[in-house]
Parts: sequence; C-alpha cells; structure tokens
Amino acid sequence: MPKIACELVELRLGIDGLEGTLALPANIRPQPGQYLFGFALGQSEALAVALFPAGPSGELMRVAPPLPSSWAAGMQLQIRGPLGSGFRLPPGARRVALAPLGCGPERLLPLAYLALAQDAAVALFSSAIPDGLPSAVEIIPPEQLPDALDWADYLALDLAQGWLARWQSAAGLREGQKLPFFGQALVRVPVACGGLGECGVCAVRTRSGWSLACKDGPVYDLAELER
Amino acid sequence: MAFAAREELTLGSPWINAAGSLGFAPGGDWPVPIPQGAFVTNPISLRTRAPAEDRTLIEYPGGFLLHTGVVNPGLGEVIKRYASRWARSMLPVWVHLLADSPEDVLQMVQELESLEGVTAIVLGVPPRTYGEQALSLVAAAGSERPLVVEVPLTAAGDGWIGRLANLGVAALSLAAPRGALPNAGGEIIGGHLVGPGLFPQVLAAVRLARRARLPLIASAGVYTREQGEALLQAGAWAVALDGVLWRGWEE
Repeated sequence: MPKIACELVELRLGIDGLEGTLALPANIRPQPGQYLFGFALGQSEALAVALFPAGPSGELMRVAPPLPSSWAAGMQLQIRGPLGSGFRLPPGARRVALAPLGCGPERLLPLAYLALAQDAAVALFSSAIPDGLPSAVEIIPPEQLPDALDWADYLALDLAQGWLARWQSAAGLREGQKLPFFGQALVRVPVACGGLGECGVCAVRTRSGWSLACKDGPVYDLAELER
Repeated sequence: MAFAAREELTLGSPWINAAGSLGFAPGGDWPVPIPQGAFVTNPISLRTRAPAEDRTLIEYPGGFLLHTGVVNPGLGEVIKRYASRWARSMLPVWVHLLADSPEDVLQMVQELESLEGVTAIVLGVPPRTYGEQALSLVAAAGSERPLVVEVPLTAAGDGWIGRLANLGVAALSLAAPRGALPNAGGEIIGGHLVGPGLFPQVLAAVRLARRARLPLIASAGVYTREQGEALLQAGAWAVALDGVLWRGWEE
C-alpha cells in the first residue's frame, strides 16, 4: 500500500479531545467506520494513529477525536489506508438509529450523512451534540435507546472499551433476545499494526472465532459479536 | 553431543523484519526503501495461543508496551495456512518458534524439516528462561537448517550466551526487552516494549554481545536508516525492524 502525505489543515479542541481536518488526495475516501493510519512527519512518534472520518466524505476529511496532543495545524501527516471494514448501511434503510456507548458520537456522523442522502430518518441517541450535525438529525437522550427497537430498521453503535458485553442491556434487549433488525457496531480497541502484524492486541471475539479489528473490523455485525 | 553440519545462513540485505511485525507469511508489506533480506514469521507455538484476556497497548514516552499473549493458531494450523506461501516466497523465510520445553522444540523443528522456502529457524527463548534451561532448548533444535537464537537484549552480557556458538547456532538476535506499566485502571501489565526509545539499549547490547562470536541481529529500537546503519557499523550483521513497519518509514 503506497504511503501518502497529506496536511492536517485544522485542529479543534472538542469534548473528547483534539479533532481535526485532513486535506486528502482524490483517491483516498474512507467509508464510515473505516480508518486511515497516520503519523506526523518529523515528530519521532512510535505509533501511527487510527484516523476515523467524522463528517461527510470529501476532499477535506473531518477526523474524529482524540488526536495526539502533540499535533498542530499545518503538520504534514503520512497516511495509509483506508483500512478495515466499515459500516454497510442497507440501501433500503429508512429509519436509522445511531448510538455511541461510552464515547462521543463523531465516528457515527458519516453514517448520518449517508442515511440522509438516501432519505432515511436519522436519530442520534447521544448526550453530546457534535458541531456541524445536520439539522435533520433528531437528538434523543441515550437512556431512550430501547425505544429504537420499536422504531428503527437499522442500528449503528460505537462501542467504547468495556461496552462490548453491555450493549444489549443498553439497547433494552432481554437476555437471549435478538435485535429485530440489522445492526452493526464499531468496536473500539487499541490498534498497533494497522493490519500488518496480526499481533492480536485488537482481537475481538466473534461467533466464527477470534477476529482482528485492525483488518477484519473494526465494524462488525451485532449478530456476529460475542461478549 | 555432536551436531550435524547446518546449511549456511545468508542474507541478500541486512535489513529484515522482527518476529511479530509482519504476520506469518510475506505479503509485500515492506514500507522501507531498502531491500528486505528475509521474512521472519510471527512467533509460533506448538499449540494454539488465544489472545490474553488483559491484552493491551500502553504508550509511554519513547515507545509503547504491547501485551497480547503472543496470539497464534499453533504450528500445525500455521503450516496448513501458510506453507504454500512460504514455498512461493521470493524472500528467504525464517520461521520463529516459541517453545518452553526441549520436547516441543524438537517436535516443531521436525514438522518444519521438509517444508520448502524455510531457510532458517529462529528459536525465541521464552521470558524468564536463562542459562542451562535456555541452552537445553537450543540443543533440542537439531536441524540441517541454520538456527538463530533470539534473546531479550538485556541478556546480551549473560555468560550462557557465550556457549551458543558451540551448539551450532548460526546467529544471535537481540530482541526488545519486556517491561511493565500500569494500564488505565492502574493494574500493572507486563509486555514487550517497542519504540525508538530502545535504540541506545540495543546499540549497547550489540557491543556487549560481540563476545558471543556469533553474527548479531539487532531486533529492537530502529526507526531510521541512520540508526540501522549505526548498528551495522557497531558490529551487527543484520537489523530487524519492528514498530516502524507499522507506523511507517520516514526519509
């Protein structure tokens, strides 16, 4: 995979840390839930950072927080990607529920734009209201997520660490009850190798065995996830 | 004990990947503008190793600690999945073995004996294994293939390292040491260390290990061409890259 340099054109401090805007070449367009793997040139960093889109797809990609505190606007980043598998919004979805659990909603925002573009109604179950959220998106308190079971036909979750075992109860599902429609989750785990090393630190337990979120995820069908 | 003559260990380029950095088979993911001399597999145990329950990555100034449980599907499954790619590889493939008993070492070496493309065996000495115990693992790895022994760079000055040459070992790899850090919950987690902060240690270890009279592979802490060249100048026979392959190469 070729390495590509791009500029971090803007940096803002949000509730969940630094978020930014990257100027991307035309051939790099991560899908919602996919990520770029990048590091700042000349900074002696040991690790690259997973950069998730937090806005509509385009030449300027809004990047979800948190970004390293050592980064500054105007820095050149070297990136590779897009990596991993992202969300698959069904073309027929008309009532889309988005719910970050234990984290901010930014990584789900690209899905909101996609859903609106196919004339779906979108509800975001979140206590945080991100900048630039389209006005057509309805904001609902996260405690009301169980209501989505009666309303939505697609659910997308962003699961902070520790929420993999608890999303069912947050969504109002009883023990053994299945989600009555298609749902997916972006599982937040540390990513070290960006799909190169099979090191296992990002391993996620699925019905078909261990899966590496860095290349097979980080988005999984909810029906596939094991606690 | 008598040892059969082994094949010679050769490299077309002294720049290779460290075990654990690029998976189990060559895939063309070499981001460095210097030719790769060999492909080293991830560590492979005799039996499946599942991810550690408390697996984690913890950053610190100069690097990061990685605790994974050395995940791998076990030698039999690795051979089933990857042997054909090893045989087709344009690069020499060095298979890295992880074993804590001489019996396991012997069995694993025998299972690799007939495979094409495998040009060397790397025996990783497990953590907290030293002296006679480590030497017994090395002695069990009787094979016609060249044997590379990998130890943490902190063992570079140990007396038993000097006895490896007499056991028919072809090269000594000085790998990243282990360390411990508190995780987000305050629990102390042990794991192996990766990052440019290790460079002064690996350079010192190469100087120290020259007395082992073996070709040395510096397998930690290299993030730039200059660092790798400094190690080669200091007496390393090869340089193995780890974290920089994941982060990306900068020139």
